[in-house]
Amino acid sequence: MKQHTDIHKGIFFGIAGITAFLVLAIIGFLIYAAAPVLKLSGIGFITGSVWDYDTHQYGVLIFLIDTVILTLLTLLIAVPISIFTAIYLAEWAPKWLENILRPIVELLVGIPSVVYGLFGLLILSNFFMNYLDPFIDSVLGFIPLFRNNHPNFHVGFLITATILAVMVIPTIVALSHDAMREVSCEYREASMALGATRWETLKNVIIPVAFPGIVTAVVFAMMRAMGETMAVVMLMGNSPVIPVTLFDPGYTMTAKILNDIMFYVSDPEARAALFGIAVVLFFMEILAVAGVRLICAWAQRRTQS
Amino acid sequence: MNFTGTNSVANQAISKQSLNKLYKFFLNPSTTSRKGETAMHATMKRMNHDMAVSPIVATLVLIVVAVIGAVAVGTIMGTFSSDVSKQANANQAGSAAQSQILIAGSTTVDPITQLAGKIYTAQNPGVKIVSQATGSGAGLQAVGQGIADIGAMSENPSSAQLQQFPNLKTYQIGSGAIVVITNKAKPANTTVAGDYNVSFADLQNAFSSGSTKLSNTSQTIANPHTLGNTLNANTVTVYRADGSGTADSFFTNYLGFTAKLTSNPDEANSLAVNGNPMMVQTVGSTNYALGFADYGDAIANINGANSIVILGVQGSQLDSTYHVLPATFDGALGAGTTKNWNYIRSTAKGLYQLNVEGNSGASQSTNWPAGLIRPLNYITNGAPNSQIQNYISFVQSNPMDTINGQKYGIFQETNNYGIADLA
Repeated sequence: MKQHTDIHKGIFFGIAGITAFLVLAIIGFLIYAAAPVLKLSGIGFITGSVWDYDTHQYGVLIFLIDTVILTLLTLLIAVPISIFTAIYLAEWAPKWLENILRPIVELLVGIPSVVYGLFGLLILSNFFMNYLDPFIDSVLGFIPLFRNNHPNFHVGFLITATILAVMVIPTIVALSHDAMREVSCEYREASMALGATRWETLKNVIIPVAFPGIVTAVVFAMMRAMGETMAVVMLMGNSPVIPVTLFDPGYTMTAKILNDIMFYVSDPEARAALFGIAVVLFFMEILAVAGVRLICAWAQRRTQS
Repeated sequence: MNFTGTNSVANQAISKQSLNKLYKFFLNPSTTSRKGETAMHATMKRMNHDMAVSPIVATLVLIVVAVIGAVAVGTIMGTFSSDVSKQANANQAGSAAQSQILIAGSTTVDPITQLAGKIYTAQNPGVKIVSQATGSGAGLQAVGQGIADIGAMSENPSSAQLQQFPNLKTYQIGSGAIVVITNKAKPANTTVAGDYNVSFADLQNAFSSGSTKLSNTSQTIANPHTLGNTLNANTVTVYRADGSGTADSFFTNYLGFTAKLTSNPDEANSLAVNGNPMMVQTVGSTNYALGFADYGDAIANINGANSIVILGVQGSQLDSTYHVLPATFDGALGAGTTKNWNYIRSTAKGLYQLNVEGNSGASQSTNWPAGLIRPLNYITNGAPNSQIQNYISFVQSNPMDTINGQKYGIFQETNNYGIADLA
């Protein structure tokens, strides 16, 4: 018996080891591949805004800013919708409705991003260009952020963020729904017994206890939005400008890598520069996760005290 | 297979139960009923999960996954390693033991390779042609590193590329044309008199950025990203983000810039896309869009979605009469081909005689701007073996394809020009 357990332990340990090794190997490869250009450009790689293979200038600033703005816009659209959906599913929805809604939401995770991109490009973009963008412009156009400077563009930040939001909503809903459901029923009953209404219980008991789970859900969503490539290439317009309004085109870091790598793969310096973008993106994600973990720890301490 | 009535009832009960389980598993995967349950719930769930997969089943699953993985890797490697299958001799020329020529590169050359491969394999059952459309740059890398047998490029290799892989041999198989296109419903050009729709200077200015230099003067453009009187004030310039051979030819050979632009950092009213088909699609769906594309892709749109028009550019004899080209070639090799096709061919022919055949006295046709014609090449690393040489010669002969009983040269079918048309 003992021997059998050890074999299985060995197999699982081996598989887990492969996963860990792969992660380390990819990080090592990224940094190794990008080293020549990172050495050449130094800090200018992050602060520079000119990307030119012919003059050997490599600065990712515009791509970096566009990536951050797109990610924030996506979360701004996705987080409220998904958290409210999760709250409804966990607290109010009748059992049968929960049983129908939850699998439907989870199905959305399985759709490949290229399909989302095509859906956005071929169907949603016409609706945005012809109806939604002019409507927003006419109602809120007095605020510069909502002014439609590009009435002929069917691509841009707003439509990309909308499609990305649809892509990340299932992740946030599923994970935060689980987090809320895991809140012990004793907490609920105790809160109710003290005379709290359902809303008060939700606000003061369930959300604070489920907070770490919800934050994890948002982190996953953020990583997916930051790393998404295919749909972004199709919908952002690939114009390296810093946006002034919601309807401007942009150019994210992942899109730059995908657009250029096939053509410049035979040029060692250009290839290194593109791997440099991947390194910057990777460290941005690490920073973002660390930041969110800190917020989470702070919130937990506050709940406990 | 019911032996008794009782068994049948029992079977039904069991199947109902299992159906119920299945239903629960798929529609409510992670929990049982929540309402009215206590803290037991979490513990029970954990226990359920512990019981869910036995170690034996897990091991079996792992083995199955490993086997599938190994087979998948083997298959993928098999596709890439043509060396092994090359050793297959003629006696083994069944479908399972075909020898294979792997061609990787230009998306423009890909349809030609696909057609040629189909006909070549029909005539030589032992040889299979595999085409991968990865872009000119990736194709050169693949052949240089020995991954592909032939690299396909829609331009000539640059001096830097020849330095990196000094043994490269270039075989021109034909020529292709680039056309300037605009949205059909809301065109970027204004109506001007003359034999063109957009002037050359306006194109240069519209597509340039502040740092764009002209190769003949080494000076920056006088009026970067401005729109002259042949272009609408709302014009949206569309670039190729992936920096293709098409873009290379358009910017450096035609517009005379020192380098191609993959987007315009100085012009917010511009977009950039990936690939010829996406360029055509974007120009077709964006009002006042102005772009450039491979002639064949433009024709495909005009024959299908019909959302773009080809613009006559200064220096060409195309005018409004010839914007919409006919559905297909109504005859083979010249008979009944369109006027535009002849214009482009006569220029391509002059270029081929000058650059490839070395005939400095070749008549240079001015029917179509020379910068909008680019060579289509097959590249090999070192001298090719006889099998690969055979195939290249076969493609250069512009083999005939039969569609609905009619014969077409494969270059005509893809709206390109074979060596037979040019030499």
